[in-house]
Amino acid sequence: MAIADAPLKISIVSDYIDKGAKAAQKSLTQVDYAAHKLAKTMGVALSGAAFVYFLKQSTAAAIADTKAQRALANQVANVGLSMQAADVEQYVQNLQYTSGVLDDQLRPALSSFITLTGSFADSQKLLQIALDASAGSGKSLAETVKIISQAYVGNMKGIKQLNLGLTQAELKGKSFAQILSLIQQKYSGSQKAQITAIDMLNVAMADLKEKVGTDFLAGLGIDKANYEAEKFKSTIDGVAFIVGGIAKLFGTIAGLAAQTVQLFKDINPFNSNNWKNWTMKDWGKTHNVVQASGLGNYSMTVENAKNLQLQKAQIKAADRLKKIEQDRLATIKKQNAAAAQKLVLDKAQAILNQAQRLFDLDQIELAAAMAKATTAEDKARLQVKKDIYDLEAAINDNNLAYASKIADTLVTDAMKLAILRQDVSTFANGIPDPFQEWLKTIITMQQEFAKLAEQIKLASWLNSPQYNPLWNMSPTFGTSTNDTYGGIIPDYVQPGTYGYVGGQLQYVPSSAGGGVNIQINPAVSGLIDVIQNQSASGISPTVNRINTSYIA
Amino acid sequence: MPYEIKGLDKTLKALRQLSPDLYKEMNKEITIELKDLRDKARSYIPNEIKGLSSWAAYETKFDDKGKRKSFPQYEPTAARKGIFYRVGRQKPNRNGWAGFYTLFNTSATGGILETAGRRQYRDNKKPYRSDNPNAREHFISAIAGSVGGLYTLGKARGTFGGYSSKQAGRLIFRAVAQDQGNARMHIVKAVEATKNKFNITRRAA
Repeated sequence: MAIADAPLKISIVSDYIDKGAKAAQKSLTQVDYAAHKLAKTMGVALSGAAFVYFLKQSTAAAIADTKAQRALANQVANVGLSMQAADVEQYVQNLQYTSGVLDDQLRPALSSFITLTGSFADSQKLLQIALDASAGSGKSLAETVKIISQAYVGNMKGIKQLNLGLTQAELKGKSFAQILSLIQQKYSGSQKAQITAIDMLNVAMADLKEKVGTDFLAGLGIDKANYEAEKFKSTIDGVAFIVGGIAKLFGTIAGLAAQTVQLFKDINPFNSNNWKNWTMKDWGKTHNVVQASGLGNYSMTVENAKNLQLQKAQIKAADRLKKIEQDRLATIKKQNAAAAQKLVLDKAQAILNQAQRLFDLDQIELAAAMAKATTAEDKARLQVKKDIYDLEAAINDNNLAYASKIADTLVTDAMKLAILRQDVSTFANGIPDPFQEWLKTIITMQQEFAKLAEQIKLASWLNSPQYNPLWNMSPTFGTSTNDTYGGIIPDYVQPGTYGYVGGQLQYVPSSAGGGVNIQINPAVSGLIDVIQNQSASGISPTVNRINTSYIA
Repeated sequence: MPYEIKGLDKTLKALRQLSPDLYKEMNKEITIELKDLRDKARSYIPNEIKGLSSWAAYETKFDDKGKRKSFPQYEPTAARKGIFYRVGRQKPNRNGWAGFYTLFNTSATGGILETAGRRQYRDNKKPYRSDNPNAREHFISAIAGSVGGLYTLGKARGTFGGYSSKQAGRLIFRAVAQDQGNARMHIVKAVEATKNKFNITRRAA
């Protein structure tokens, strides 16, 4: 199947092709006008497209008829009867109306008999007998003519088909004239008896078409002699010819021959009862004419301007969103690139710092000096110096954890140095104590406990059930026999002191009672005293004196 | 005064003549969409239809001129081959519309798989030729079971402007219906983008 004829196809995108449509549309408009005018003249109702279709058939019929006429005339001339050609044609025309058989059947039959007999009169007689035998026997005219023609030359085989009631032997003994006489006797008048109105109408219609076609072509200036010219034949089938001809020869349409017009009026070929197959659809399918009304609707195509605008707007919105997304991705990409670059630079800086640290001359000198140091004091001093450098490096690197650790180490090493030096070396504007906050907390805690000690005496606390929660909990309590609790004193309520040992609050039984003495790490407590004194005096507390008595 | 070209036909013609590189590039993008649809439609064709095993064994008869004169044999390979696409203007139909990017299903087997069961059983004009009263239902249900149901383009039957039975199918119609207009959108965008590029180059020149 050719692709163009494939019924199963989907046009994903299609468009309206107006090439030729406008011209055809214009011509159709002219056809409609011409048809309207003609219809008015003839008193019939018809549409433009149907009229064009009729004209197409008419021109074809006219051409075929002219061809058949020419063939018959030629045959008549061949047998030496050229003088009677007009009579022959007239006879055919009249015969079709009296027999109800179309001239395109009559002409071949007559031509056969004329060729056979060489006589027009004999041919007329034979044709009439053939018409009767055809109608009577039910065979077609062409078959009957063939049978009679064969019988004429002595071949009687086919005569049996005419149902004459003779055996083969009887037929062999009969002459052609006798056979003919028998056929005449049997079937005379059969043809006339079977003529119907439909037959007459068909003949009239065929005649009308031929006449209209001849008149139309004559109006276009095309002579019968040129009907069979190849160039013309291809043109005559074209829609453009018909449509163009109508548009061009509007007057000629209205001026059809009077006989034709009368026949037209009598028959009215556009009566739907007679011509049911004439439809716009058929015309369109056959001749690919763009119809004036309605241009179709396909779901896969852009149907109208509104849909097209909507589609454009949708595409535009989609493009805009796409651009926004692209910009966003580009921004993220730039940010990522910048972050990656920063990371690389940071890494490089860290590596550089590390490298610089490795090649730090001060550190190298310090390490060399430490290696050479012999006394404990020198080693301690150099260690403190190293701690200072490490603390600086940690602070530069923002390494707080390491900085606090180094600070601890620094303080410890500084204390050790001070001990070794046995002097009051000061850290004038020295290293800030990294544990200052912590020390402050310890001082605050010490102060609070001191306050507590003033308010609550341990003895009264022990002996006063209203202050001692343990009293309330214990079934027996008391330090004297006057104790109403039975004289059994639990360990945890015996007089003594509470103190932090190893960082934990513990009860240290003793003979002395009263007061609360909080004991912390002795060295720290000493420092706390110093700081407390300084803070009380208004001096910013710093570690400026380390006493051996404070060291455990 | 610049000459304005309107319509897809003229636009494509202008692109083809004035900027063949852009035109080829555009067609490369478009054929990707069409190939996708074609391959999808081909993938729906099974190697055999369950319940109709004799259909593949049946032999088609041809006359002297090579014209088929009996019911066609089931040939999945030919059916797949008969589904293809074409880029370029097709012959306008009688209403003046011409397709530019078209999907075809031309084989006999493909046509049967595509359209079996389209029409309702109201057509009493053609005589029922089988002795089995359920032959029609069996045939259609066997095809539907192996290939799938009918997919329609456009609105559903019964709604205003609803589809005609000729817009339903199991192969190319199914591929296009399931695509939901994406291929068409991409094709239109490709044409629009190419047109814009062309206009830009023209302005720059």
